[in-house]
Amino acid sequence: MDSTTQVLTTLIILIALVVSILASQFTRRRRDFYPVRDIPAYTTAPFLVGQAIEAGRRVQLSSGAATLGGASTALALASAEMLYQMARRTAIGGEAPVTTVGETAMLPLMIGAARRAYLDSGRIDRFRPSAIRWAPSSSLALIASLTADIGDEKVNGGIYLGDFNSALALPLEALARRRSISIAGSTQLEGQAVAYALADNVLLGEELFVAGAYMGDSAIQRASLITIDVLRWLIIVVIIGGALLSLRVPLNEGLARLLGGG
Amino acid sequence: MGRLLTTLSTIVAIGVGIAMLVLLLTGGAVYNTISGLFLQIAMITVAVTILMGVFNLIGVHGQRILQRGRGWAYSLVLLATLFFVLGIWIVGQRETNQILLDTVQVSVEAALGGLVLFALVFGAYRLMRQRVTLSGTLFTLVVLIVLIGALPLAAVAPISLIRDWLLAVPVSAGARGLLIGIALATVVTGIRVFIGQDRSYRE
Repeated sequence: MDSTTQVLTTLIILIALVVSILASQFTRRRRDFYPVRDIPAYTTAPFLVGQAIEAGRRVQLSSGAATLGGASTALALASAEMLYQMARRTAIGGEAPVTTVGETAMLPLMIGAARRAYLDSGRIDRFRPSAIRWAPSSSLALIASLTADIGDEKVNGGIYLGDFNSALALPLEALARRRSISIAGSTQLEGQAVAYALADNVLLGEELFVAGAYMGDSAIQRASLITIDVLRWLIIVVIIGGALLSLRVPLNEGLARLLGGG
Repeated sequence: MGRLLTTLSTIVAIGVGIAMLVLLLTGGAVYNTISGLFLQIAMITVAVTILMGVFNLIGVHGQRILQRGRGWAYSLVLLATLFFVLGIWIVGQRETNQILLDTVQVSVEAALGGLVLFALVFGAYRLMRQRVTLSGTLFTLVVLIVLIGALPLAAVAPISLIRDWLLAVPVSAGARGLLIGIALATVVTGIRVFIGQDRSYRE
């Protein structure tokens, strides 16, 4: 890592750390301290659970190829948070979401998240670890499993939040044919494009990571949202500032030519 | 006891996180040695989770067969195949394994992969049929320009130029925007884990 990258990385981490700590203090005192913008996918998700409970059906959830121990670790944690939020809602009266992971390292994380949700809801007796299953993401087995489960497990709607490629089109198309609701977002651009075209509700970029802030009541999750927004504005300012700076020299030369006639 | 374990795991996670971050930023041979060690530990853990995955697969599909759930026959085929492949691997028939992979798995995956195209075409059709919005129209228009522009015909040369510009400027800018958003959220999620505030610590 060269020195410029080291300095920039340290700076970004420090800013994120300071803003996170400050924002969590404010959000603990006043929940509505920072109004969040509406993301339709997170409004639809609880509705999807309600609909599934009424119909006696299940919600399907998948994290794709996201896993712990690599670049997608944060995404894996975000998927686990989504499962926690969905399982907390289904624990009351419905069946646990059918969760399919593409990597075996995700099994303990997802089983832990679902178990915690049932424990927090006081319904641990209803918890069934078999609702969380593995199908390898290295082949098309994961996608085949998701598509087959839509019919076999009486799925009412699907949430695909993770690392998917263009094959995501298959389960999304299967849901669309059954007129079931779908929510999708991927960190892979091909998967993201497919999600945009086929899903009823799409999650873009950083929206994949904020399920806890929108669907939960945790102050730290809302603080994360504020931190992402602050960092995003900082980057926008840096990009615009950099563009203006790079334009300064040709602009000055042009002006000099115009005024001086050179 | 549970609380003690939670505290201990939080201390270990934060400690290792800080150490790795400091070493990554300061660089040097120490970083390579320690990161190599942690990677080895991670690999062992992943190996254990593969066993968990296999048992999970047997458990889920075994339950479906026993309860005669929908699609139980497919589960039976899956488990029979699993044990058959494991059996020929144990007796050392590696060539048979390779033949099975080449003739069965690759063919099945190719067939499934072929279906993706139809699903995508259906998606574009559905997008325009259900909601004719500005963004939907733009999406379909761009798809058409990119597809037509890729044709090796002299008559579509002007469209090829538009296609090249679309891929180089708006597509590239949009992709970078999405990736920057993902990177920022990754940093913030990492910070939440780093300061022991993630939900995964709460048990």
